Amino acid sequence: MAIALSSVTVERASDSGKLGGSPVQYPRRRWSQGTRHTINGLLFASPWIIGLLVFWIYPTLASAYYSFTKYNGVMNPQWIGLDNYLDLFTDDDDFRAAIYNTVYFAVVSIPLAIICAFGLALMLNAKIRGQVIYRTIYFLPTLVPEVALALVWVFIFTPRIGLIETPFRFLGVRGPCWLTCAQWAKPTLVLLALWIIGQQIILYLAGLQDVPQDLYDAADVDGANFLSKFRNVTVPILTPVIFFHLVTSIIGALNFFAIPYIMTGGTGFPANTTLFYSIYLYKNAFQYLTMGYASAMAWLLFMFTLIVTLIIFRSARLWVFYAGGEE
Amino acid sequence: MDTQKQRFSRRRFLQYSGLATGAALLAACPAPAPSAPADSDGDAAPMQEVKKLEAWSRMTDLAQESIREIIDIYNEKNEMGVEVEFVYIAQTQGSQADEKLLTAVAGGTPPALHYADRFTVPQFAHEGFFTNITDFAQAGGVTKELYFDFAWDETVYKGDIYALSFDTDTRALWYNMDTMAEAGVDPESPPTNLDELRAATEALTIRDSTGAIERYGFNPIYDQAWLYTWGFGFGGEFQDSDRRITFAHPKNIEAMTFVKSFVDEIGVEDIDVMLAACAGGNCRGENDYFWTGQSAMTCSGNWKVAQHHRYKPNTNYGVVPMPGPDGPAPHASWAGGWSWAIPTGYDDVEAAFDACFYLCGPEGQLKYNKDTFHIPTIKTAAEDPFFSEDPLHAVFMDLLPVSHARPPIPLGSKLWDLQVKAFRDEIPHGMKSPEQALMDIDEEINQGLEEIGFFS
Repeated sequence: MAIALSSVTVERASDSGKLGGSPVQYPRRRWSQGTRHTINGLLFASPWIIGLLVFWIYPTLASAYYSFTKYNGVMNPQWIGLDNYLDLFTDDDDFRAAIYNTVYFAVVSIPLAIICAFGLALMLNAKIRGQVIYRTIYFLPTLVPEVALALVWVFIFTPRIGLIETPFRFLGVRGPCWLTCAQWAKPTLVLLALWIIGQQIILYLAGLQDVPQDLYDAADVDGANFLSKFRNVTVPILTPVIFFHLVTSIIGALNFFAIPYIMTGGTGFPANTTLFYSIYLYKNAFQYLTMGYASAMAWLLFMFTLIVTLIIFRSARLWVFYAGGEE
Repeated sequence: MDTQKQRFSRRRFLQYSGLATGAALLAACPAPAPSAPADSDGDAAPMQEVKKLEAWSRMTDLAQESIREIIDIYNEKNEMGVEVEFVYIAQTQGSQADEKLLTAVAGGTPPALHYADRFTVPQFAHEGFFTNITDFAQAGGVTKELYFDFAWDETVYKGDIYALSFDTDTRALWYNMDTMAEAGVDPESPPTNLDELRAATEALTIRDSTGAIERYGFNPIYDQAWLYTWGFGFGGEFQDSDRRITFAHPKNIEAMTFVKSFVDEIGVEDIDVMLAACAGGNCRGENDYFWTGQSAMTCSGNWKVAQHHRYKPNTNYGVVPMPGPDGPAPHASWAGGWSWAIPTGYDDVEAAFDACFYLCGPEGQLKYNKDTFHIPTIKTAAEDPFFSEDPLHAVFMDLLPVSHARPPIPLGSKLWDLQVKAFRDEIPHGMKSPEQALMDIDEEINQGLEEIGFFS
C-alpha cells in the first residue's frame, strides 16, 4: 500500500512539473481519494472478481435453480418444484447407498489419517541420520497424480496376480479379495487413501517444530515421562493442525471421487459398495442426463458439508488450543 | 528511477492492462469464415482453406485403424472441400454414455460426427443431442428397405432419422480347441446344452493350490454373455407389443436363476476377480482373457474373427451357437452395432452428412466390416461372399436371421446400465433375487418411458 501511495505522489509531482511548477493542480474529480483507491483496487482485482462471478457464483446460482427443474443440460429446464429432492429421499436406493458409503469412508478414514499422519510426523521429527530422505519418501506419493496412482493400484490390487498378492502366494494362502468383494472394497479404498497423507505429515512436522522447547524442559523438571509430555504438551500445541486437518479431510472425504471412479469405473461394483456420493452425482449429471437431479444432490452435499464444518468450528473452542492465546 | 515510476503510474498500468485485455479478447474471437473464392482467371487465386470436420469415436485397435483408412479415402475423393479428422474419445467403462459429447453439445462445440452405439440413438435423439437428418437422408436415397429392420429401427425416433447405421454383429460361443484337447475335452464336441456347458466349464477350469482360478473354463457374466443373451437363449422377451419393457418375463427370470446358480458353482469371488482385473478396459484387444489363454470359452461376437487372425493365428478356435436349456440356442444371439450421428449444434450439417453418408454407405460399410469382421447393415452389402468365406464368421452370418435386438427405446443407455448392474452385481452377489432385480428394471424404465410420453 505504501508503495502504491508513493507512486501516486510521484506522478502528481511530475504532472505538476509539466505545468510549469505551479502548485499541484489536478482536474477536479468527483471521487474522494478513498473512493479512487477502492475503484483502483477493484480494477486490479477485476480479473479475479470476473472469474469468481462467471465461473463460480453464476454456476452456483444456476445449479440452485436447476435443482428445482428437470434438465438434461441441453434442452430448456422445466420447473418441477421440490420433486428432485423428494425423489432423492423417498425413491432412490442408490442415493442411500451413496450416503452410507461416503459417511463410512469419512468416519473410518479421517481418524486413521489423523493418527497415521501424526504418528509418522512424530517419527520423522526424530533426529536421526537420513531424516531428510525419510521425509521425502513419505511425501513423494502426494506428488503422484491421482489418476496415475489409481491405475497403478488397479494392477497392484488385482487378486491372484497383483503385487499385493506376493506375500500371500509365498505363504501359500489366498489373500483378501480387496476391491472385488463387498466386505473388502471400502476398507481397501480407506487403505489406499492413507497412501497420500504426505501433505498432512508436513503440516504436523511444522507444528511439532513449533512446540516451545521450554515447555518440554518444564515438564522434565516436573518429572513428566514421554507419554505425559506427549499428552499434555505436544497434542495440545498441535490441536490447531489437527483441527485444520479434520476440516479439510471431511470436505475431501465427502467429495471422494477420482480414485474410486477410476478403479471401479464408477459402477459401484461390487454390490454398490464403492458408489460414493460424488460418483453417483456425476453419473446422474453426465450419464443419465438428469442434470437437475444432480444439482439437487450437489446442493444437499453442500448444505451437509456446511453444517458439519460449522459444528466442528463451533466445537473448536472446546478442544483447540492456540499457544498465543488467540482463537 | 523517478522517471520510470512516472512512466509506470498506476493509471498508466491500468490503461495498458485494459488495452492488453481488449486485444486478447479480440484475438480470441474467431476469424470470419473465408468467403468463397471469386471466379478468378489470374494466377493469384486465393488458396481455399479446407474445412476440418472432427469425427469422434471411442474405437481403438483394428476398428480405429479401419475407420481412419475410410476417412482417408473420403478425404481424398470428397467434393465438399472438407477434411475429416478422426478423434479418439475415451469410453466410460460400464456405460454407454458419452460425457465428452454431452459436454460439447451443451457447450455449443460439438464435433461434426459422433460414433454412437446404435441402440442409444433414440435416447440421444429424444434428449436433443443428435440432429434430425431425415431430409438429408431422404435426398440421399436412404430408405428403410435398404437396411436390416432392427438396424433401421434403432436409428429412427418418432419417425425421423437421427443416425446412419454402420455395422452389426451376432453372438455365439467361442472355444479354444487346443485347450480343450489338452484338458481331455473333445474339441469336436463343444457344449450344445447348459449341462454340457457346466461340465465343460468345470473340466477346463484350473485352480491353484489356494483354490484361486488360474484358467477359467467359462465365465457366465463376462464378455458378451449378458442378461439379453441368456434371456433370449431361454426364450425370454424384453419388450411387449405395447412397447413396454418386460425384463421380468418368466423365461428371463428362469435364465437369471440359472446364471446365479452357475456363478455360485464357479464361485462369485472368482468371477469377480476376472471382472475387477478387466476394470478400466484392461482386457481389451489382445489382453482379452480368451486370447491370453486365461479363459477356455467365452460368449462373444464375430469381431473376434479379426482379432483371431491378428493375435492368435496359430491357435485353433471354434464357434458354435450358444448352448440353451434344450440344446443349441442360436436365438440367444442378438444383433448390436454402431452408427454415425451428427450432434446437435454442429453448424455445417450438409458437409457432416456427406461424410456420414460415405462412411455408412456401401463403400464405407464394406471396407469397415471386412477389415474388422463385422456385418454390414445394408442388406445387399451383407450378401458379399466375403462374409461367409471364413468358417468361423460363417457361423455368425447364419445366426443373423434368428438374432434378436435390444428394445429401441429413448432410455436405452439407462436401461443398459441398469441391466449391467443387475446382471453383474445385484443378482450374482445375492443383493436381489432375479425376479426382484428384473422387476425393478421394468418399473424404473417403464415409469421413465411413461413420463416422457413414449407409450402415447
